[in-house]
Amino acid sequence: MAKPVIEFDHISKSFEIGKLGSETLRQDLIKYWKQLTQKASLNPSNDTFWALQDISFSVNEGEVIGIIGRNGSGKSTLMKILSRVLLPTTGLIRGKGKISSILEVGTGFHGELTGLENIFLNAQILGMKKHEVTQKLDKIIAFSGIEEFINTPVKRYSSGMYVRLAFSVAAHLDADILILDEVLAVGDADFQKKCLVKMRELASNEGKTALIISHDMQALRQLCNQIAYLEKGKLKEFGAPTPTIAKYLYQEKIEFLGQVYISPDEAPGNQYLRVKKVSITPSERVNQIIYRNATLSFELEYWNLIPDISIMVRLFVFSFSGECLIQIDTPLKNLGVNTLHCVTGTIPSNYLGAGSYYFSVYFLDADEHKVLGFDTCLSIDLAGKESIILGDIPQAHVSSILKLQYI
Amino acid sequence: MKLDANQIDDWEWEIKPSVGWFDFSFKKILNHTDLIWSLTKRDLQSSHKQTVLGNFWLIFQPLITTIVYTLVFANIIKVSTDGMPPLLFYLTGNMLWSFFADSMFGSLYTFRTNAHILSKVYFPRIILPLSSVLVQAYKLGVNLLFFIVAVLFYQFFTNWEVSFNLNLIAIPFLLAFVALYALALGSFSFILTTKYKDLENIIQLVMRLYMFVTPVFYPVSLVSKELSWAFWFNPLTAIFESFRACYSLSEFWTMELYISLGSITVFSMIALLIFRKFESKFIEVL
Repeated sequence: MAKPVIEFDHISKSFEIGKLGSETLRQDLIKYWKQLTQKASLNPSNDTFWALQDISFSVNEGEVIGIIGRNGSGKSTLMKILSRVLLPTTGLIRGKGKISSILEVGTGFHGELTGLENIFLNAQILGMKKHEVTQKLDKIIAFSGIEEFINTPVKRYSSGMYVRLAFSVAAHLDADILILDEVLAVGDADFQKKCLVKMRELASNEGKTALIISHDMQALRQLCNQIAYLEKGKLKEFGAPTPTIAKYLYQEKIEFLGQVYISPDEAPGNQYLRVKKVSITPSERVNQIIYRNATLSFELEYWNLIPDISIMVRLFVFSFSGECLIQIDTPLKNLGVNTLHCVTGTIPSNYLGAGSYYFSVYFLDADEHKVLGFDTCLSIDLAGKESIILGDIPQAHVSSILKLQYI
Repeated sequence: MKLDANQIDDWEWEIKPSVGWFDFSFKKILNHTDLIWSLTKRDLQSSHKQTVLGNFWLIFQPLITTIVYTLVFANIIKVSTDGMPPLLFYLTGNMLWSFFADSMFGSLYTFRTNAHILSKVYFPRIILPLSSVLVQAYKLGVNLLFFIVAVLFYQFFTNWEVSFNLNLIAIPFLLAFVALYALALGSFSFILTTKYKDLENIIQLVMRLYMFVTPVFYPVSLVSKELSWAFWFNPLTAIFESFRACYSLSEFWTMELYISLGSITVFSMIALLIFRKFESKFIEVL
């Protein structure tokens, strides 16, 4: 039985551009004076920016809602309104239950205080009572994995330790409704997995309602029941995760499956090499969604502008969090001046797990010195029914399956 | 329509575009007492870490100021102290004024120093100035201990006699009113200065002038009869005078004190209601 716990009722939020803190009394007085003397009201829409317009949806108990959209689409503003940091300009939000919002990990951490002192401070800022923190203290410290440094001032922490401690506090918050903004993207890969598991536990097992802002589509697909897709402050789509995410990626052209250039002059590159075309082609897509069982064909064409050089092309595939999952080379090839060269490769179906991936192409000479680097030139998002987080694959295994070669 | 009414009853909270004039609850603030203490502790601890003398600095600064006041006003300009030992006279004036001014500026600037927290987490905003006032109260406490030592010194080693009386019990009560006044004035100034930073300079100037019209380093008895009525408009005047009356032989519960406490209460209520009404709007432009 779905019981609504939050209802957004036509929420809009406007900001006055240019007035944010910079306006002085003098400027305002001049404005009021002009308004008085000219008896013409200044056009209010002129310097008003609508960060959110007419957002309405409701969240049922126990649901996890993912919020996606480009930077500046109003995701954070919406969450700030829900956590009462900002007031809406018009509209109403009704709800029940206690809300805890983590719009940033480590809010209120103070460098001079020790880890332990910061746990208490941070948890209390986030709305916990002292005795609740004391109860959970052991768990929080254990989860962070930095027991030995708990009495060290946090200004001596590495940024990784800092973030671990901060997330541990956040993960142990007690609330009926949890708001998380981008907190998934913290720490090293290991800790991220730990966070993901913890978040799932929070979201599913304990029947908690959660609203999550993230750019990690795979994590959202795993965690969420519904996705709200915001575009320029408007609610563009609200629905089931996989189709909504696919629509978002397709419409916002975040998946970047290829780039082609016609002449060497306009192509990206340097005085040695120019890239004509780089692309990745899935064997099939269903309603704009690329599933992980599609075969992916990689294609690269480039011009060589200088005589007598041998080039080896290296392809990297990175996960969303920046881990290098695949690194594979072509054999070295001697190139003639002003010639066009072509490299192809295939990633078999079901080889990559569901998730977002970035591709980088490097051109190396015989001594493996970088001649040209073409970073994050492609990206793709793969959907899958089952959710596998790809671990480390031994290199030998990779090159036995994947072949990258000149043709 | 009946169904609608039922549904509305079902919701526990609402977020609306504006805050009502009387939309506050002491319960919510009391719910956050742990946070108030933690923030106070944070400010005190972080200001002491990596200092060798720690708490000593809390006494050292007012002590030097008091000695300078004593030298300048009592020995050079020869201002009357109503028969009190000059050191004690200036110690009280200085102690009370620092508590008031530091609490007021603390309450004003706490919003800016904690802006990063305000933009990420919600809690009743009044908690921030409350904890800055508590930080100052701690400093005042340390100074009061020093003050008591000084009073006892005068009692036993000079021929000046302290008039110990029951009014001493009322001192914390007076200090609470100074704190409330500073809290309200600081929070209200935040509303005034956030959008127009120009006003900040004016407020600093006004506070500096305010010190001179408050009996910090002279007694009100020095003010001419024609002007003294104007003096009692300042609610701090009566509090300063009565504080000193605790250990001298003057009258403590004067009519002026009642008026002063009354006007502080009224002013603070109005200022804090205005603060509550507009806090969110101004924190947004912070």
